[in-house]
Amino acid sequence: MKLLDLLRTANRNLSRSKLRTFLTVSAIFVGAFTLTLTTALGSGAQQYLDRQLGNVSAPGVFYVTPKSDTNAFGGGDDVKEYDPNKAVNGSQFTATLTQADVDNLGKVSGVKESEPYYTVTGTYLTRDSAAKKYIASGLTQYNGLSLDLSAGRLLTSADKNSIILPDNYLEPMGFANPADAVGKKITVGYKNLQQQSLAREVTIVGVMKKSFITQGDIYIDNTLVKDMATAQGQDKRFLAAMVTFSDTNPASEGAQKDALSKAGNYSAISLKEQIKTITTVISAITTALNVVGVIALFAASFGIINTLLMSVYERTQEVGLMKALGMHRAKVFSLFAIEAVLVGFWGSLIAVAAGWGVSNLVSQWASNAFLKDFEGFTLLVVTPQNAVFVILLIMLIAFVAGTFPAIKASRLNPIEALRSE
Amino acid sequence: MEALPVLKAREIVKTYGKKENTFVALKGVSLEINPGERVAIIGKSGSGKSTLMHILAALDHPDSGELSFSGKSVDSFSARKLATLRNRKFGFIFQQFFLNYRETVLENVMLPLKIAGVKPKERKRRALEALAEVDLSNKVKSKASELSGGQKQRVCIARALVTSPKVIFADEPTGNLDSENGARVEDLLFNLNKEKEITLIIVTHDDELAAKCDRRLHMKDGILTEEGGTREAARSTAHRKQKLVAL
Repeated sequence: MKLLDLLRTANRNLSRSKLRTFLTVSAIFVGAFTLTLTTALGSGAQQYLDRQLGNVSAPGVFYVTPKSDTNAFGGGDDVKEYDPNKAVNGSQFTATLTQADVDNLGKVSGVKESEPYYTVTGTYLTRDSAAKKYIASGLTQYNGLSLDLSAGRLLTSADKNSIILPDNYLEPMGFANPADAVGKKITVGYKNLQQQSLAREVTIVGVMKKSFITQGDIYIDNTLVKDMATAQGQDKRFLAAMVTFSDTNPASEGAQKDALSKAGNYSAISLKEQIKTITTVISAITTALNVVGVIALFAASFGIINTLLMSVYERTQEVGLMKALGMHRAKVFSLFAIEAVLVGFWGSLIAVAAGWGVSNLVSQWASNAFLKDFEGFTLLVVTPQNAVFVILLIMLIAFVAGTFPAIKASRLNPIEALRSE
Repeated sequence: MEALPVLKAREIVKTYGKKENTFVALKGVSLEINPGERVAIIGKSGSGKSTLMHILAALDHPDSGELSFSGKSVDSFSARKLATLRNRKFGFIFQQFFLNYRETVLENVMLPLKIAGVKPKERKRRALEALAEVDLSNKVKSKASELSGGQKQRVCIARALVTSPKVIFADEPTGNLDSENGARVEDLLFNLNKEKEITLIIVTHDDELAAKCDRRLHMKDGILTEEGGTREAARSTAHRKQKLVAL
């Protein structure tokens, strides 16, 4: 029997017992639908992350920090010896880097640039024409992330007195829209070590969409951040250094990381790795949800076994006849296995289609409700890859479930099968 | 030149069941069937006649003994090869018809060709030809369930015929039919035998049907007890006996 004939025969057999096929397909549907939605949730979150920081990955850029001494404090009863190279930062005993470290890292082969990563504190933002001042505690050195901009451009190392404004500052500061703000001058306020208020006029080069990754960060250029750090006494010791390699091939990241770690008592982390922490959490959640879907499918696979077994008993005579008329055992097996796979195919196809529809509706609703603050976050995204993956996985599960009844059918003795009533 | 026997069985033994419950269905049966012969296997129920037919038709394996088809031993054939042999060389007609009642007459007749992997167009052409042969061209599109008993058995004949087999095995072909329909089925079978030289092996306990065959093989308690038939058949029997004596 040719494959096409097997397929046709299998399909006809399924449509012959409509109710039973419908019920089995329904069982598959439940599992497949769950799996479609959970993978859609994962994709939605992933897509959002990718857009937020994504191409961010800024290959070749590393944060380098001193290797943390986990036993430095806490834990045991031992009293630690004082180390002049470690700063006492509040209750924490944290190692810091000096300019010498930054220079040292700059000498690592392949490094294009090594800069201190300053920690500064801003106080307010204001527009000359506006009387009100707005809190700007999130002032942060720009770190090379490719932000989700709604207007303007990202910062470059040539920029001086420049800022990227989060879009939630637009309205309070009297800008009609993102494009309106670009090129305008605003004032950044901060305090020096003596708690004197200082102000600096800066130009808005870009407006970025607020996201949960960047949180309340307001990015300013390196020159400005250095001036502020000097005023705030943060220019001698740094929590980290930002090292940029000329080679931006993501494949070299491993070697680059090693080179930095070997340059001294440092640990290096790429931007990509930082982001990974977030994606790990999300993938852990979606994995847990996927497990639920797979369990539902597991239950459904018993439905397939049951359906096909009934079918084998019901069609004993028919199978006997086909074997008597010369159908090979392998073809009988294929016939029943194909029926199982078809049940899986139809169930998952309908489920993916329904999942796609439901995803669109739910996402639309969510964007207007609890995801209002997360611009561009589509909660559920059914990607073609996920759809194909779900369908193939379920066809595979259906096939495995179908093997037992199919083997049973293929082993029927034609004479006994024909004799049975 | 004497043609090779189409089927030759030597000392076929077949046992059913295990240990204390064993039942010896065939206790060493030997026979030869020549091409174009019409042979009736007769005997009471339980005599082993159906078992003999199943073994001759390669539907069942003997416990011991040899079986050859057209001079070729099939003892070493794989299940796959035996299935192909049944599909290509044998046709089957059953008392209970074994039609798929949910499908049309045409589809039922095309089944052996579908199993053989014949292309759809060719399948249809040959099935229509076979249906014309049994005078059912007007029922091609009917569901098998809508037919009368006689018509059903004629569909079965068409199905057996469609692969142009060398041998047709008929298990009580008229058992479920009234005399008029039974006669029609008999005529069809004997015509096929005459015109297409298809060997007929009929299992029956209808003496009238058996009488119309060239040879009658009587089965009793798993043994082939006597043979009767035309002179030609008797000659071949005598020939066989001589050979046995010579051995």
